[in-house]
Amino acid sequence: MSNGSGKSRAKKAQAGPISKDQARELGRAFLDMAHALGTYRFDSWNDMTAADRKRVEDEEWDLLTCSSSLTTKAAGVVLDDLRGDLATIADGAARATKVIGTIQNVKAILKLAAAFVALGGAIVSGSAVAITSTAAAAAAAAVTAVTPGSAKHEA
Amino acid sequence: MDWKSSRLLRIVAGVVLFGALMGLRSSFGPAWAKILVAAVAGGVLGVTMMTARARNGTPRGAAVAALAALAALSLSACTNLSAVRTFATTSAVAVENREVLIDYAQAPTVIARLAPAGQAASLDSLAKERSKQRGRLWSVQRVLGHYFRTLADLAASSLPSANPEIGALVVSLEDAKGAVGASAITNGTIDAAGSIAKVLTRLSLDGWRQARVGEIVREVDPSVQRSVAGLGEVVTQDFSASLDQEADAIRNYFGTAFADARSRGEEEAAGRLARYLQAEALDGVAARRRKLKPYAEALAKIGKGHAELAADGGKLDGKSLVEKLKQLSKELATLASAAGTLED
Repeated sequence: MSNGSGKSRAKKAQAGPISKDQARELGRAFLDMAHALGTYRFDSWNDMTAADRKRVEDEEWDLLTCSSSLTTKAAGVVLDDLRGDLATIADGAARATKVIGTIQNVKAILKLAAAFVALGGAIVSGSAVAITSTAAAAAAAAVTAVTPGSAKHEA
Repeated sequence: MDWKSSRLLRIVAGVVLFGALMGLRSSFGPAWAKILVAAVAGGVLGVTMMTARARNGTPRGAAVAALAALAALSLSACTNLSAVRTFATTSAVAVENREVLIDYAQAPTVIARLAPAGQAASLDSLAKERSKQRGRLWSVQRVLGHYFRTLADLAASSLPSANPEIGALVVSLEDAKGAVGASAITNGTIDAAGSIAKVLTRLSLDGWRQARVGEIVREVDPSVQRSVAGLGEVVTQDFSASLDQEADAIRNYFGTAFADARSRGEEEAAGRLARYLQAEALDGVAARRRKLKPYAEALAKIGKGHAELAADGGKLDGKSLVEKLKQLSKELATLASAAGTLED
C-alpha cells in the first residue's frame, strides 16, 4: 500500500505545474515529516508491533522519495528558466570570438600602413615613378586587408 | 624639402597624431581603421622627425618625450586588460565543477541502496531524471566557462603578435629616406619612428579591445547574473536538500539497525557497529556538503565581478575597478581550490 501511494505522490509531484519555491517548500515539509516519523519509530520501538514499525518505516521512505522528487522538480524549473539566458551568453562568447578574429587582421592592416607610409614618402619626393609604384602597392595591400580571410592566409 | 613644406608636414603630422590619440581610446569605429590611423600616424610622425632633423638637427628630445607619453598610455591599457584577463580566467576555472553535479545526480542511487526494495522503481526513475539534469547543469557551467575563457582570450595581451609587420613598417620608413634626404636621417631616428608606430598600434588595439570587452560584458551581464544566481540557487538549495535527504536515509537505515539491536540486547555488538557505520556515512555527506559553500560563494563573486565590469561601462580605467578585480580573482582562486575545481 505504502509503495503504491509513494509512487503516486511522486508522480503527482513531477507532473503538476508547480513553482520552484512551492516544490522546495513541499520537499522540505516532506523531509521533516519523514524525519519526525523516524524519530517517533525509534523512540517507540518497543511499544510498536513489528507490522506497525514496518508500516511507519515505509511511510518514511515514501516521504523521503517524494521529497527527493520535489527537489529534482525545483532544479528542473530553474534549468528551464535559464534556457534563454544561456543562449544570450553563448552569443556573447561567439561575438568575442569574432572580435578576436578581427584583431588577427592587424597584420594585413599593418602591411597596408607600411604601403601608405611608402606612398607618403614618394609623394613628398615628387617622383611620378615612385608615386605610381607605391600607389599600386598600397592599393594591393588595401585589397588584401579588406578581403575576408586574406589576413589569415597571409599570416 | 624646403622649410615651408617641412612645417606643413609637421602640422599635418600633429593633426593626424592628435586625431589618432583622441580616437584610439574611444569605442567608435572599426578596429582596422584605428590600427591604420595609429600606424600611419606613427609613420608620419617618424617622417616629420626626419625632416625636422634635416632642418635643425634636434628631434630626439621631442621623440623620446612623445614615445614615453604613448608608452605610459599603452601600459595603462595593458594593466586594465590584464586584470580583466585574470578575473575571466579564474572565473572560467571556478565555474566548472563537475564533482558537485555528480554528487547530486547519484543521490537517488545512493538512497536506493539503503531503501526498501519497494522504493527501487521510483528512485530509479529519479536517478534517470537527475542524470539528465546533470547534463543540463554541466551545459550551464560550460557555457559560462566558455564565455569567460573567450573573454580572457579577448583581453589577452599576447593576442596581436604583429612585430614582423611593424618591422615592415620601419623598412618603409627607411625606404622613405630617398624622399626626405638620406644624409639627414639616422638609423636611430628610424628606430624611434618605428617604436612610435608600435606603441600607437598597441594603444589602438588595447583601446579598441577594452571598448569591445565592455560592450560585450554590458550586453551579456543580465544573463550572466541570472545564470550564476540560478546555478547558485540550485547549489545552495537543491543540492543541499539532496544531501539532507541522503543524510536522513542514512539515519533511517542505520537507526533501524541500531534500534533493533538495542531491543534484542545486542547494543554492545551490532548496535556499536551500526553507530560506527552511520557516523562514517554521515561524514561522507558532510565532506560533500563542505564543497557546496565555497562553490556557491565563487558563483556569487563571479556575478559580482562581472557586474562591476558592466557597471564600468567598458572604460576599464578606474583604479578601484582593477583593484577590485584583482582582489576578486584572488578570492575566487581560494574558493575554487576549496570547492575542488582548482588544484592547490
